Order: sequence, then C-alpha cells, then structure tokens
Amino acid sequence: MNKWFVAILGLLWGASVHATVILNSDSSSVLTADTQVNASIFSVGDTVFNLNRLNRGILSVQLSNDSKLPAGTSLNEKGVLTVSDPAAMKPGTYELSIKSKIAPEEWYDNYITIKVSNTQFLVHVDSDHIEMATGFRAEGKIYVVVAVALVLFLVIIAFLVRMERNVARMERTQKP
Amino acid sequence: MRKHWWKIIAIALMVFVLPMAFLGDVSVQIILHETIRNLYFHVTMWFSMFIIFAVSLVYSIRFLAKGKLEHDLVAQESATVGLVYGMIGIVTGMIWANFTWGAPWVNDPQLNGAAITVLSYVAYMILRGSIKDEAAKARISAVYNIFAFVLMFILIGILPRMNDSLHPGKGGNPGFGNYDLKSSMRLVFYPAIIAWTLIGVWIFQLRVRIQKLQKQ
Repeated sequence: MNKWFVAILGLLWGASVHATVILNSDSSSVLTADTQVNASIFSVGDTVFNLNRLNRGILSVQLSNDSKLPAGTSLNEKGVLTVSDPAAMKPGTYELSIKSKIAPEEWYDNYITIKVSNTQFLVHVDSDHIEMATGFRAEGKIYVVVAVALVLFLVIIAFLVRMERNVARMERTQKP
Repeated sequence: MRKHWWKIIAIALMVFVLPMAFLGDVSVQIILHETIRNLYFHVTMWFSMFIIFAVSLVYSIRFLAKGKLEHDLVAQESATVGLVYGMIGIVTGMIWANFTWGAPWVNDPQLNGAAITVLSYVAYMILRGSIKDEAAKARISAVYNIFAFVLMFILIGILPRMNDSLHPGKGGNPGFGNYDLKSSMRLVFYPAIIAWTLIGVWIFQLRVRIQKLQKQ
C-alpha cells in the first residue's frame, strides 16, 4: 500500500461522489421564464395591489424608470395593479418603485416586490411618507428662511463692493 | 460698467437663485426630502471650485510659458479661493451626510477623493510658503499646480465613477445628472454655478489687485 495507491483511490472516490450528485440532481422543478403560468388560476381584473387604499387616496402615480411591470398586468393611474392578460403572465420576481402623489405637495414612496409562480403571486409593499416642508410653506415660514439667506448674501456683497471701491481708489492714486 | 458687468450678473443671478433654492419645485426623493436643495450650495461649490482651479492651472501654465510673475500671482490667488470653496464643499457635504447617511463622514471613494484634493492644494500653499526666492517659488509651484489639477480630475472625476459609492451620481446610484434632476431644478442649478464661480473670481481678482498694490 504505497502513497500513490492511496492517492488514486481517493481521487476515484471523490470523482464518484461528484458524479452521483450531478446525475441525481432534479432539474425538473426549476422554473424558467419559458414556463407558462397556469392561466386558469388568474382572471382579468384580479388585483395584485391597491396603492389607493394603502396610501389613503392617490391623485397620481409615477413609476420609476427602472421598474418593469410583470407581464400580463397593468397599472392604472390610481395605483391599482390588475391582471390584464392571464395568458401572458410569466413567473419571476419583479421589483417596482412607485411614487404616489396624495396631495399637491405630498408624496408616498412605495417599494414593491412581486413574486409570480405558476399558481399564485406574493406581493410585499413598503410605503414611506416622504416628509417635505409643506407646513413651512403653508404657514409662510419659508419666507423667513429666504429673507435671512438674502440678507446674509447682500451683506457679503456690500462688503465686497466696499472693498472694490477702496481698491479702485488706491489704484487711481497709485497710478502715475 | 465695462469692467463690472460680470459682477452685476453674479449678484443678479444669486438674488434669483437664493429665493428659488428655497421656494422652487424640487424632485421628491426618499431619504433626501427637502435637503435636496443643498444641491444648489454643496454641489455648486464643487463645480465652482473646479472651474476656479482650472483658471489657476491656466495661469500656472501661462507663467511657465512667459515667465511673468503676474500670472503666478493670479494662479496663487485663484488657488486660494478655490481651496476655500473646496473646504466649504466638504463642510456642507458633511452636514448633508450627517442628515441623510447618519454620519458626517463615510469611507467612500468620492469623499476620500475630495479630501485628498483639498489636501493637495493645501500642500500647494505650503510649498509656496517654503520657498523664499520669487522666481523659484513661482516655477516650482506652477509645476506642482499642474500635477495637483490632474490628480483632482482623477480623484473626483474618474475614480468614484468606477467604484460603488454612496454618493449620488457614482457607482450605480441614480445620480442627479441622469434621471432625477428635474428641469425646474436645472433652471436654478446652472445659474447658481455661474453665480458662485463669478463671485469666486471677483474675490480672487480683488486679492490680486491688492497684492499688486502692496508690491508697489
């Protein structure tokens, strides 16, 4: 029993383990984009999610540029995603980012994940109310901010203008 | 008026930009909320700094070509004002980062690049201070200025785009340049850059004139 004999035995054993793993793995349960969804489970008009209820009343929605709706669904302007064509639906995971306007100056940001399998879909929605200074603007406090910024700036400009005048005067008296 | 027209433009633009910065319509984004208005101050500082350092570079090269010490003086003073703008950019960035990212400084290629840029121009000032002879000071610092500018270009213009970064506009973040800068924001952003740059030029031009007077 020399070391070469043991080494070759070990290699053969390892190779056979790998071979059995590869030959026995079941690839029939893997869902690819080519497999069809069981269209009879879904019907036209099924709601996937309803942002109008989640965000408590929507004026308009805005889908982000890099979001793609699941195939066979459509989003209406009230933020309701419905099934429009069950035969076109494809399994997969979809991530959407939708901003909804609930008032002239108020928005919600909704991050939605949809997992479509051939018998159901799973939907997860995260909603954030985006805080903007609407209160400030409504009460007119914003004009105080603007006034302060302008005053600060104009004082600096006045200083610069004064320095400019002094330097110009000195240049005039220095010139022969 | 022939000498001062651009100063009037700078003041007029800033008087437009400042109210619009607070009252104007902005993109609504999560995490940022109203702080997106810092775009008009923080980002414009960096753009203006870049332009003013470019002026400094041009005058350094002109000095190396012609040998006129006046050009070196302009190069020095514009580098000084650019450096101040860079420091304001860093401080405003730290304030913004503290609010949006939770910490005033993070280990990020863009931030590190900006810090190294500012430090390299501080080194320019120290280099100038260390040489007594006027002509030698001007020559050596002019050559250093060229290297410092190229370094800045790489550190804040190229490297951050190649790496993942928290900073908007780099490494896959939807940057303000690509999708989210609304036209109403561009209307304030570009005049702000022009205004801040012209004010920086006004300041360094005054400093140059004062230095010339002191030499006589």
